[in-house]
Formats: sequence, C-alpha cells, structure tokens
Amino acid sequence: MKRTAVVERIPVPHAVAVLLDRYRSAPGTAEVRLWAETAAGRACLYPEAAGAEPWAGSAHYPIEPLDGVPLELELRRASRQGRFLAQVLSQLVTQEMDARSAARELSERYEEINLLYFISEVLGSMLSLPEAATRILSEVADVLGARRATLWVHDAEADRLQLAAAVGDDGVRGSLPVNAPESATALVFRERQPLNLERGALRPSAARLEPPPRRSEAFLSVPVNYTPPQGTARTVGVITLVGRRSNVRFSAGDARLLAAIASQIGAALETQRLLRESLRQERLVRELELAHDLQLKLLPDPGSFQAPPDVAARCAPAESVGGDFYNLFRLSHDRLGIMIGDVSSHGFSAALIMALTSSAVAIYAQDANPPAEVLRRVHRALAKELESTEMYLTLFYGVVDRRVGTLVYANAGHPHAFRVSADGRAERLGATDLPLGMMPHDRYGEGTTGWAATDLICLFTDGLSDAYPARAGRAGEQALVADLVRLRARPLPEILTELFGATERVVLTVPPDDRTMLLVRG
Amino acid sequence: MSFEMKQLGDVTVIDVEGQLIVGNRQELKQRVLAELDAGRRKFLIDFSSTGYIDSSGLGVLVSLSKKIRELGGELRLANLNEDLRTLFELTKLDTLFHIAGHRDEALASF
Repeated sequence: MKRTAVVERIPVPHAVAVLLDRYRSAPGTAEVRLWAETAAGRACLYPEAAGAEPWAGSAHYPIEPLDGVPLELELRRASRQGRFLAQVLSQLVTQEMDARSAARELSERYEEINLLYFISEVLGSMLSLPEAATRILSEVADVLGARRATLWVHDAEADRLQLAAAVGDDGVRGSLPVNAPESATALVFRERQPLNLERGALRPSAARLEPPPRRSEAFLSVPVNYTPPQGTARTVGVITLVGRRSNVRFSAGDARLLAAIASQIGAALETQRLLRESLRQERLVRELELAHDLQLKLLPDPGSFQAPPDVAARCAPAESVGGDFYNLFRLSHDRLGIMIGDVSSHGFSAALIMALTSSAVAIYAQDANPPAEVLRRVHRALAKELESTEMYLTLFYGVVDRRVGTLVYANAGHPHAFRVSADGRAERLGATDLPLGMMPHDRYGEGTTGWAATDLICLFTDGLSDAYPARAGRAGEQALVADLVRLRARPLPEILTELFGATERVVLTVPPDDRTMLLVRG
Repeated sequence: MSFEMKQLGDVTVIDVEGQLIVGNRQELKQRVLAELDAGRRKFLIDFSSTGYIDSSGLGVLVSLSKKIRELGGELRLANLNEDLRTLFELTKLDTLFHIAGHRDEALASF
C-alpha cells in the first residue's frame, strides 16, 4: 500500500466513523487513519482532512473489506489497543455489509411483492386477456430488467402455442406447433421445465429461441402451470424473457419469481378459458331450447282441434330435439288424417329428417291421396336424403272416415299402432311395408279396419314402450296396451298423463329415446 | 356391449353381447366392413346374448345387409330372442333378412 491516488470518495459507515471519533478523543490514544485500496489506488477514508504523507514507524492492521474494497487501519505508533481496535472495526464493517445486503434484498423483495400485487390487481380487473397479459409482461420485464418478453398460450384444440402478448419489438408472430423439435418455447412447454441460458448459449435440442436473442443476450423461459383445486398441475403456456439491461444472466431467484408470476397467469388463463367455455355452453343451451321450442311448434296443437273426434297427443324428445313426430289433417268429406313417425336415432340429424318428412306428408295428405300413395310419394321425396344419411323412419298414416265407419291405413314398419274397441279388444294395425329408406320401394300396401265412435286409436313410438314398466313377464308394449285398454273410457288427456307418468318412474336399462303418443276417439 | 368375431370355415361369425344401439353400431359396422375388405363374403350375426336393439342398431343391420349383398355376399341372423323376433316381424324387417332359429341352422343355410 505505497501508491496513493485521488479516487472517488467511499463513504465510511456511520458506526465506524463514530468509533474512530471516540477513539481519537480518548486520552492517551495514538493518531489513526483508515485507508482503502481501490483499483484506482490508495485513498484515505478517515479522518476526512487527513494528509496522505507517510508516518514513519506507524503500525498497520488489515480490516474486513467494504463493498469488496480492502481496508487498512494505521496507527501513528504501535500500541496494544491497535489489534483490538482493528478487530472491532472489522466486526462493524461486516455488520454494515450484512445490513446493506439485507436492505438490498428487502428492496428487491418489495419490488417483487409489489409486482405480484400489481398482477393480482390487473388480473382481477381485466377485461381482455391480451390487454392484461401485455400490461403484466411490461411490468415483469421492467422489474427483472428484461428487454423483451413474450407470453404463449396453449390452444388445446389445435395443439399449438399461440402468441398471446409480446413486449419489445422482436418480430415474433403467430403460433408454434407444440411438437416443433427445434423450438425452445415448445421444448419448455413439453418438458415443463424452465430454460435459463447463459449469454449466447444454445441447447442443441432447442436451437431456435423465440424471441431470438440479439448477439449474446440472456434468455429465460418458464412454463405457465395451472393446478386445479382438485387435480394435478398442467401446463397451459410459456412465458419468456430475453436480454437484460444489466447485461448479466438471469439468476435462479429471477427464474423462481418468473415461475410464481407464471402460475398466477396460468390461473388467469384457466379462468378465462372456463369463462369462454361457460358462455359457449350457455349460448348452446339457449340455442337448444330454441330448437326444442321450434320443433314442438312443427307439431299441431291437439287442443286447437275441434271435436269430434277427440284428439290428444304428447311428444317428449330424449334430447332437446328428436326424431318422433305426429300430425293430424282435416280432409274433405269429414275425414281425418292421422300420422305418427319415428326417425332412427335422435338428436339434430333425426330432427332434420323429421321436419322434412312432416312437411312432405302434409303436402301429399292435403292432396287427399290414399294412405299408400302418400307413403309412396313421401318415400320418393326423401329417398336420396335418407340414403345419404343412412337413416330410415317408420311411418304410419291412416284416414278415419266417420261417415262410412272405416280406418284405412298404410304402415311403413311402424310397430305400435292399435285400435281399441269399446269392448276392450286391442287390434294391432300392423306394418304393411318396410320402414322408409331401407330399400328402394315403389308400391305400398294398405290395411282397412272398421271404425266406431267409441273406438280409440292409439299410435305411439318405441321410446314409450321400451321405457314402460313390464309386469308379470309382459314386455313394455304389452303392459302399456293392457293399461290402455283399462283406461280406454277415460278422457284422452288423462290417459296420456297416466301412460307417460308410468314411464317416468322407471329406471331405464336401455338408452332413453324420444317418446310420443297420439290418441283419437269419437 | 361388445362384439366377438371368429371364423367358422368360410363364415365370419359375430356374437353381439348386450345391446346393439347408437353407441356401438359404428364399431360393428367398421368390423364387418374390414372383413369385407379382407375378402370375406359370408357373415352370421348371432344374437343369443343380445337383449336389445334400438332403431340405429336396426339401421346398421340393414346398411350392412345392403353392402354385403352388393359385393355378392350373404348375411344371416340367428338366435333372436322373442322380443327381437317380434320387433323384426312388426317392422317387416323379417322380409329383408334371412333369419335362422339357431346358429347351426344358419351355418347350414349358406
């Protein structure tokens, strides 16, 4: 420590200055100086006005470094207190260094806590995720001293990572396939592990960094995870920081902080996804309700049908819409057209065929065609549609002529059509042909039975009989018809309520199907 | 609901266990079509373990029957329980299929 120089003044810690002041003012003590050995040369830190001239025969004691700068205590003359004073000063310098480090740490934590608080506030009040993500990224980049930042969000449907937000002009746009072998972002997503690269370093397994570092910028990328309240964590995105203003690599602490932020963003992304999903579901439910109402409006209201004869009907689709339908037509000469149909399967595809068929039957029935001719024309009109969709339907169409006392019908494979007479006999009005759509068919048969004002016609679909509680070894249809016979004299709405009510008390062993019944009497 | 498929001579025999309904009809269809692609032409569907066939199930049987016939093949049905047999009769589907009482009877009819 021979060379002295004019160096930037290093402030002496307050406790050190106080101790040295007291030592100097104590009687019988030697003069002291405190020296610092900086890169620019040797400088006297204490006392402030001390000269730099050497003291002949002085004693020197090393002191713990201050901010990495070695210190030395010099006493004008050697004394027994010199070593003790140096030890106490070293202790004070060490404590000062610890205190400074703690203050620095506290200040950093404060910034981090402040950042997390800010993120919670933004996420809590956010209206749009891209806007919130951009604001959060800007803050994160600022606190961690990054030049650029990107947030990638996983699109599960396309299995790609979509760029949700970017801070700093890096030219990164669009999306990345999750399985892109060369992409570092995709790698972080797949392996669910952070990637913290030294300046300019590259991993052979992920040579392409997004955004690309310029020259030797640091690169830190962490997975954005979401852990549901009950369940295991899953990765929903990736957040990446590139380049540091301080020009040092990101520390493990930085990576931990970024991971903590990422988990908050993960929760926000999931909330956003669930919100979108919930809105979509709500819209879907509204549309289904609308479809349900519209479909039921396609069916005539039996209440608006003036007696005689009495009519009652009910249609209960298994889903919001279904493939069952019925119709009633007032025909010339006081005749009544009655129809029931059941499209294979149910749901939207069945509902479309149902609507087509119902319209076609209405057109051909109003032309006063005989039942067999109505079925032939309907089949011809629907054949292509049925063939292309691989669907078929059973269809019963009958004409009640009250004046001559007959019921003439054509039945394309519909199994459940009955005439119950006043004495309790149930006659099945069996199929005259195959269901429509099963085979090319151009000739339909007809059946004729008698009709009395006390007769009851009951047409229903298999959804009702399959759900009907079987009794004493009798299948659902037999039990239903037995109850129908028992109830035959009751008002028609009551019969419907009883028979539908029976199916609602049953635990089904078969998949639920549309249930429909049409009753005509008088 | 499952299907067991085996070869008895040149006949592909398919056992339908449980139900043939909208949920599993495509599986039956795909398996039979795969056998058709492999050159098989004689098929027997055995319903001895089948309790229920819904309208979609009936539809797939009709569709398979058409496809097999178009390729010069034959389809037989066997062991329909009383309810299923009634269903085929009521819908007139019994006129569309060759229905045998038992498996041996069906095998002998090819």
